[in-house]
Amino acid sequence: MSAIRVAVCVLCCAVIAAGCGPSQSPAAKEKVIGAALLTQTHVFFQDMVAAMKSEAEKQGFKLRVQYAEFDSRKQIDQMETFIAQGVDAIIVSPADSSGLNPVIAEARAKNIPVFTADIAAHGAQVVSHIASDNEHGGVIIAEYLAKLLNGKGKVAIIDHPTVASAQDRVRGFEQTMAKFPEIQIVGKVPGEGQRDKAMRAAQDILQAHADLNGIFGINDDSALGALAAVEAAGLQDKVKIVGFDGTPEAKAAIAAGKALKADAVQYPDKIGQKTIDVIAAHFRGETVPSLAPVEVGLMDAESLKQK
Amino acid sequence: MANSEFILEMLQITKRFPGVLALDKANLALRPGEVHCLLGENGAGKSTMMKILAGAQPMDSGEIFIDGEPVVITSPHHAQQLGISMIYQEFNLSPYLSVAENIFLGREPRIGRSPFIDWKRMYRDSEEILKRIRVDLDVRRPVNELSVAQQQMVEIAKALSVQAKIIVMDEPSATLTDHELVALFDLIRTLRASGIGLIYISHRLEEVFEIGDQVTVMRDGQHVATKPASSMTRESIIRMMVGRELTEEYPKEFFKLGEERLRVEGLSREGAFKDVSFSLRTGEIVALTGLVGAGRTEVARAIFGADRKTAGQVYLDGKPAEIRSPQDAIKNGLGLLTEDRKNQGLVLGMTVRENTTLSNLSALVKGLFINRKFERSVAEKYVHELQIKTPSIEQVVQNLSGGNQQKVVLAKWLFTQSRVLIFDEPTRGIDVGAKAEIFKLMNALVSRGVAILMISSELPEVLGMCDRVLVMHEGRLAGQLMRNEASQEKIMHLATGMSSAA
Amino acid sequence: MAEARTQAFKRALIAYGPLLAALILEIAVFELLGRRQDNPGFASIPNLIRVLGQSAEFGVMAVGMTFVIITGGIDLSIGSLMACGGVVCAMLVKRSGGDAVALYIVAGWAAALVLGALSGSISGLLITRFDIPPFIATLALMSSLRGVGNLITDGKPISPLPDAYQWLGRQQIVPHIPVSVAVFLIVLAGGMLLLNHTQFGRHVRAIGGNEESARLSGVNIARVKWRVYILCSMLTIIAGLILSSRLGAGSPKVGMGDELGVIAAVVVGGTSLSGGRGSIGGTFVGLLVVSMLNSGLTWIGVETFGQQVTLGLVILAAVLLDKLKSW
Repeated sequence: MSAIRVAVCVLCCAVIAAGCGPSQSPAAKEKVIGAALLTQTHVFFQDMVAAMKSEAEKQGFKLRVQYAEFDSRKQIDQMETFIAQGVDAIIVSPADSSGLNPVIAEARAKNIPVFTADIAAHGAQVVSHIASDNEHGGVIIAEYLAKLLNGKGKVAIIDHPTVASAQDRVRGFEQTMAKFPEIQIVGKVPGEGQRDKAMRAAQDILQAHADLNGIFGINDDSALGALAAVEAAGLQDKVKIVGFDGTPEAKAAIAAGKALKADAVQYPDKIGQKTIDVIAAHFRGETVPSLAPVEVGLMDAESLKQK
Repeated sequence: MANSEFILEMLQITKRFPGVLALDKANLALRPGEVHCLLGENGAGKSTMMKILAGAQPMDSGEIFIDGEPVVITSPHHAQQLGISMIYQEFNLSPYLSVAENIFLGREPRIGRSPFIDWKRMYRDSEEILKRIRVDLDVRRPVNELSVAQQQMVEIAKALSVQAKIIVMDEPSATLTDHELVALFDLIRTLRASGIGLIYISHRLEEVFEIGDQVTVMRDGQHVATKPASSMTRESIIRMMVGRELTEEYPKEFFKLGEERLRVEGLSREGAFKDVSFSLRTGEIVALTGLVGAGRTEVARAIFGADRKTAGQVYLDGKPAEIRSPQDAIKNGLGLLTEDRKNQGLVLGMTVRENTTLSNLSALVKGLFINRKFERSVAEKYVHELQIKTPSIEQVVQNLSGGNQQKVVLAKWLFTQSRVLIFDEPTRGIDVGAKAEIFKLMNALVSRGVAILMISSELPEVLGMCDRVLVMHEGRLAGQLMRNEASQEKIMHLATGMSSAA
Repeated sequence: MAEARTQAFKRALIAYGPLLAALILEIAVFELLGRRQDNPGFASIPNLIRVLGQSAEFGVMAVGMTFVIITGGIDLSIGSLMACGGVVCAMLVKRSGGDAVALYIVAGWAAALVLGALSGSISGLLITRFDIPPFIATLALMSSLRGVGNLITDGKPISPLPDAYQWLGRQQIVPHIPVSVAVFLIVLAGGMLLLNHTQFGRHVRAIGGNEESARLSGVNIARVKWRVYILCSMLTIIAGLILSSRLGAGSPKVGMGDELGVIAAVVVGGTSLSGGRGSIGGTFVGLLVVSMLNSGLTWIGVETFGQQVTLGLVILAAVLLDKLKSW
């Protein structure tokens, strides 16, 4: 009696699940790529995945996508599943830059090439890392902010130190700022790349440094969180914010002339596309570079007007 | 037809519960402006009668008239509409709401037809009602800040605010100080003067003579007599309340008295009982009795270490015993069969086997693990010995009858090798046949040298089974009666605090 | 005797039958759907062992949580404590600098277990001596321990670590059976023995069934509860060590929200949140139902959002089933 009920329940779930899944018809010897990405809830990854999917279709690959939602345990479970399924390649955007070495080693042992997209894995041997030139992005956005501040003032960074791409951005930013002797970086606070936490972090730093002139948010959620904090404090005319990523929301804020002045823009679609291209080249037996940088641009009110 | 001299008449009320005839053609008639005392032992049917009046329980047969008109009371709400208000021992007040909010709970005056409360009117009306009963209280105060007596006044004000014609007070004096009691009686006289009929239930007989106009005595669900209070004496009331002959449902056996097993000296627990001293010898069953709330169960719990005592000393076999927890008690060979078996005696979701061995598992542990085979044999042994009626030792005790549950509790204490057993209301909720079985088991235990302290409100069983009777009154030991001198009258004298016999 | 055994078997079948049926159905459905996608082998033994390996951390924690929930309590601190355990061990191992790694690893385990015992003692103390509801006491600990983990690591993962660090999580002792699975199975068996065959286990169930009756039967409530929280915390540490070993790093960020996943597995396994009723076997099957589902949905390519919805539905179905059973 009750066993039947369970059976029905589970069957229903299974049908739902089946409905959610991709239902391509299998083609002979189709290459399968498993992607274990950071999150499904960021616009950045949504754009990246969309480009990956269309490029994979063009090249005739089957792409399976899973998201860790910032949980490294979940991510290695997903990668192990891909390995067990014997996929032909794995793409990963690590949830924790340093927690993937063992599972990447396991894939290598099974001759499954691993590629990292957007976020690098520290110390792991991957075939290629495809990402925005984050350090360069940090450089150009630092130069822009320095110019805005006329080469002097106090600047803070809303950081996300556990993520390699953020570390690269911050490195580029700090190295560039070092060239401006009258600009002082007064604080680096962790915002975990999330808007609410970034906002709280920004509020703290504004409290600590009433004479702050500039804030660098390592991604747009950080920058927009800082923007909210600055506006709440009524300092929008005093503090200039620069961000990273160029999401539509950040774009709108820049165009509207708010305290967020400029963004280093990544091109997630280009990252997605390039990732598949690199894998295709690897499949063809070509040698691929261990680092495949994707260009980064700058976006400010001026450049938006021109478009 | 009913006589409209009465504001309320309940005639030939009969109510049967499974296995018990709670009310057997009981009558009650109340005049306006009268304080009518309703008396009887625990279980005589007073509260069932009042529950029927309050619409909380339906009656099987009988008639109720209000102002001479026949009525069928269908629900508590209906009873309220008929002008009947109950004031229970446990107040029905919402602790964090104010006095005024409580008085008008569910009937809050509103501004026009809007959903908003007309606070002004609510406070004004509340003040008026309180003024009528000459009570001085801030209607804005939350009731949890009030004393018990003040809360009672709020209950009464609530009753008046619904235009009650009949007010029932169940043991209103139980928790009041003498001073508060005077105020309550003044209030009752005010209500009486305004033509309200009051039914007053109390165990304290002296109050009957102070405030009562009429007295109705009930016994075993039946109406015994209704007489003016002035025509009665305390003795005549007690005789009417208990007046039944002892039958041979009590298979008492006598054994040679041995050494002193348990002695209690000056035992006190603040707010519960004070300065209780007695002793217990092997071979005897001693009863601890008194009215509900006299502190009997509290004494037992303190001896057993379930509650902390504030003073006094317990001796076992003549030696002082440090009992701070039930574990200590069990180590010292004490066992407590609680009144509330389901919530305090058994783990209902566990099996007969598991409940039997719960208190003495360490005796079954070999190495790290419980020896299951041994455990089963222990459980089987007690099921056989106590004739527990259960399909198997793996039966969950929830599914057993009250008598068999009591036997499982007993098995548990037998397995701990208890040498002193405290039975708290051992026969409550148990049918007559099983009662006699439990008594026989008590005899068997005593013959093996176990000393028994039996707490009971059932005077017949106290007189039937015990060698000595200790009577408590308001937290103190009021006296001790030997079996040959004890009688229900004497016990009731002591229990109601009338005199100190012994 | 034999009759008693058949009876016990029947009871177990009534208790676990529906869940086992659900489990088998899940495996069958994922195998079939996987095949349709040219993706066979979900039902193969190595793959099922892999799923078991992925359940090891949750499983070890769920055993402890079952004890806690049977007493009528709850422990919300396990996700944070798990991260702390891994971090403490990783920090010690990192100090080894490549010498005597095994020694450092064992010392790391010991240090982490001491931390677990300490944390469990604190929850136990708050709950038994200060009478703070378990929900509140462990909620406070959940936050504080997360903070401790972040403070001692500065929020950054501890890595790289020597390869030997991966022994607990990845080394296979018999082909296909990693150490972590062995540990899980040992904890499982130990938990069953503890709950069903010792005085402690009996007392745990008695307390959950009726605390007052247990107290008046001479059960030392405070001591038993205290031990239960210590047990749960120590098992949580073991889970944290396994996870940290699988990650090859000690990360202060892991385990966020895992307490709820573990509670869900325990409840799906038929343990009542109001206490008294529950079993380790049920928890094991409940956990497998949940983790088989997660792994299977990944296997057939259902993305995160679809997985979340399905998991919720399965938890609901399992709990509804439990309600139907008690009718």
